[in-house]
Amino acid sequence: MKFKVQSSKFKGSSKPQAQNAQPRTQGWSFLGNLSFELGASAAWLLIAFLIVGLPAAGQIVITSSPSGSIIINQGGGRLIIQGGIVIQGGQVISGTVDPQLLLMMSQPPIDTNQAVAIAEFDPPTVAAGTRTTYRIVITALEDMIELPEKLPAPAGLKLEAGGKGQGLQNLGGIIQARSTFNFRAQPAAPGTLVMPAFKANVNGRAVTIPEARLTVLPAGSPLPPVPRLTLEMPTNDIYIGQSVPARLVMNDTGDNAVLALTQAHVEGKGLLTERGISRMSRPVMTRDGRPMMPISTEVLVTPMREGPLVVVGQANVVLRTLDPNRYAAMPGYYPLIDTDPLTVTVRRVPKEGELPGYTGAIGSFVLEPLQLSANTVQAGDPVKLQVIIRGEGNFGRFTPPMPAPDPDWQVFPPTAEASPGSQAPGQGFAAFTYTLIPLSERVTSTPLIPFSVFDPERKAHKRHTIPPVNLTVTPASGVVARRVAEAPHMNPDDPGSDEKAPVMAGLMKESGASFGSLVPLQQRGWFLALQLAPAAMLAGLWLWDLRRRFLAAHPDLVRKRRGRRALVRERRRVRHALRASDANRFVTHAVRALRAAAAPHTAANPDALVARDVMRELPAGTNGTDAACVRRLFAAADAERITQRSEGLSVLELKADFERVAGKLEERLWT
Amino acid sequence: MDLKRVVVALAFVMPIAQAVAAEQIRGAAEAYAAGDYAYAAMQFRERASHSPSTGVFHNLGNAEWNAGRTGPAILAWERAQWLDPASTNAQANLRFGRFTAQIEAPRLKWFEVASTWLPVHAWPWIASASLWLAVSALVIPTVFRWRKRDWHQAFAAASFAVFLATLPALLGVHTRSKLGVVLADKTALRLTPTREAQSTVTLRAGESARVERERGNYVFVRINGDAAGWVERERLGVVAAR
Repeated sequence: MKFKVQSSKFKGSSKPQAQNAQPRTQGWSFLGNLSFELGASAAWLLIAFLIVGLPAAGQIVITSSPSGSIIINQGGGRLIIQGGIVIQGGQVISGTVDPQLLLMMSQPPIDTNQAVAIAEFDPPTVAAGTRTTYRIVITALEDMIELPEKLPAPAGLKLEAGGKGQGLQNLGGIIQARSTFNFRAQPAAPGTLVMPAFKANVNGRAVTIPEARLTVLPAGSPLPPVPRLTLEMPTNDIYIGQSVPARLVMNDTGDNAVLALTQAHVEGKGLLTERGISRMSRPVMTRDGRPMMPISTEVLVTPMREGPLVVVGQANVVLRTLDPNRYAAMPGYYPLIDTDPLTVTVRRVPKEGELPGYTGAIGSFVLEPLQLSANTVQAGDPVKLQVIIRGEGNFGRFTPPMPAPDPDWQVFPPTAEASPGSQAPGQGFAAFTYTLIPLSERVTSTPLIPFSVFDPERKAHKRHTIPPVNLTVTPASGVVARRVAEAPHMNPDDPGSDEKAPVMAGLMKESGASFGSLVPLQQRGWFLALQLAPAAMLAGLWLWDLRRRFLAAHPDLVRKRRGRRALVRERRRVRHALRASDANRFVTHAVRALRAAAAPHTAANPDALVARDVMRELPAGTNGTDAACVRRLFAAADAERITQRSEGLSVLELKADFERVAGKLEERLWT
Repeated sequence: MDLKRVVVALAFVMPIAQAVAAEQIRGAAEAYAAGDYAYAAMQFRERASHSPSTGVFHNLGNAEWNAGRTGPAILAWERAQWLDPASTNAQANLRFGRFTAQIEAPRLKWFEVASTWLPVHAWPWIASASLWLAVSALVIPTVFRWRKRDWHQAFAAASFAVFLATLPALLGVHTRSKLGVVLADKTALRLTPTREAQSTVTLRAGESARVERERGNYVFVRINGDAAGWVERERLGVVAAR
């Protein structure tokens, strides 16, 4: 549904659409924030509209009279609202008015009938190449003003858009809006520059911006000092969401021309100035080697966007003297001044190292001792835990941390005792109160609340965990007792369920035994290889025992082995005797060799064998030469042993025969 | 000649190495006391890489924790407890860290709990010694034809019983060696071992996970017998790292 507003003068409205002196008709959407848009008068319209009822058909025409009455024509009916009274058909139908609406009605209207403009250079005289401000002030709301896209600047004058602002001044029964547009001007050459008059569109009307003159002296010319505003704030290592102090310093020219700064703030895309939080002082400072007492105002700004931001400080300056002629139409006007632009670099809070319980707190904080409303509480009854955090930081920009869900606790979101959004620069604290309800008498302390902050000084996250507070919970009764009984029991193996709050142990002075690796031994190759050593040892023992048993069962093998060893030994000695041509030794060792080779077959002592015994062990088919050799060797040995008589070197001729016989006997030892 | 040179070199080098290690630990402790936790952690980490020990890992965990690195801190304390399960300091700090960071401790099976009764390197030695003692008690009297005694049999039976008792603990050590700790916060648990894979769960730093298999730069982990998926290898620290 739509209705029309016809007004010749719509007092009290704050929107430009209602400022037109000519009667006009404009469509409005009924739904939405109608009363907010139209202000107090619109609220009355709404009341009257509701009183009349929602006419189903016909167009409603609303007009306002010069006397301040609001007339609603709806079909054949007519409703008049005058002085807070609703009149229909000549009769008062409603005299009851909401006090809030009365308060709204009592506010003086904004004067939009006259739009007066002033233009000036501040200061009006500068040296070539230095900066001045071209200021335009118009008595209208800022949204109603449309300046030309490009101002008609004279040649040799460079203009750049600067700060702009709007103020309201109560002139007694009417409010005058004043909008200021600053442009940074920089003349190039000496002379007199004239900024010509031009037209600006103010709420559909053409308003003349008067001309302004700038006297430009040669560069380096001495000029009286002028008040200048400077912005001081950190330009690096600031983070999104951080409350950064910015200082606006107004230098004093020495004549106390500047009395104060008002509405100081910092403008910039992606930057938020904490309104209402500022601190003005007159510190003693040294500039260019000279002591001075400038006016300093600190404000808090919060960057909301990453990257480089161009910021400008602005403030209205209260001057001791102001040109009464120029500002005759604007009594009580405080010129808006701004600083040179400053570029700051904003970063994101790093995700690296972010700790549990980080809710956007940036700064340096200290957790004060916790305060619990009661030390003993019945299960099911609430207890309040107050947490106070002090320090420097963005108290109004982070949310209180919440503990992890715990079946033994019901935790309500914390409330701030003072609005966390309000922060005085020197105060620096935030107080939260948690309402906790223990659901079990098993708990002995309040739940631990993880909380961490980002410290911009250290560029690192820091832990400020809200520790548990000891609490005695008595058993509940009734419904609560049943709920406590139904609460899930905590795992006794879980260390976190222990009654005592855990604490961190400090550094260990002793390193303890060192290990080569963290890998368990059974997964290391050398350890598995080491297991082969005892296995091999035991296996060797076992095999040795087996062989020993085998040899015990077969003694002929042992004798033959011994025989082979003795035969080898004696044959070596025989060869030595032959090389030395020692017949006696040859005979002796040759006989011993023959006996050793023949003895294993008869299980006899080798020394007990005679030539016949040896010949019997010769293989079948042996010729007589072999036997003769054996007999002769034994005979020679007997002769030497019994008669001490040697056969001489002739016995050495048996060398070849002996080797043949010994070879045959050796072959038998291997079978 | 060569052996003599080696002995002489060791006689000179070992005291120097010990002095360097002591100096490094002292420097790390001083940095820790001065609040330079990052430097202290770096020093302790280097020392732990050269000669792992319970104390060094415990101190490394403290430095990492104070430097705000929850995952590496819990991993270091886990390693300290891995080497010495009886270390009350490591136990206390693990409990503190998990309690503060609201992280669940890994759920151990019964044989894994049994494996924590002794240091991790003690079980293989006990198993090895008991096995070979049992075998020796059976073999040696037979080999040497000693007269059979009752205590031979009893000793062999007891040794074998000890060996059998160590088997579950050895299995526990083996499975516990697959435990890991998530190092970085908001670690994605992915469906497939690829960077573009869908993330099913986001893990917090310090959470425990069991490594089940590996592929390329990813490891397949299971979180306390529940969720499973692939995580990047560098975002998970295995307790028994090689």
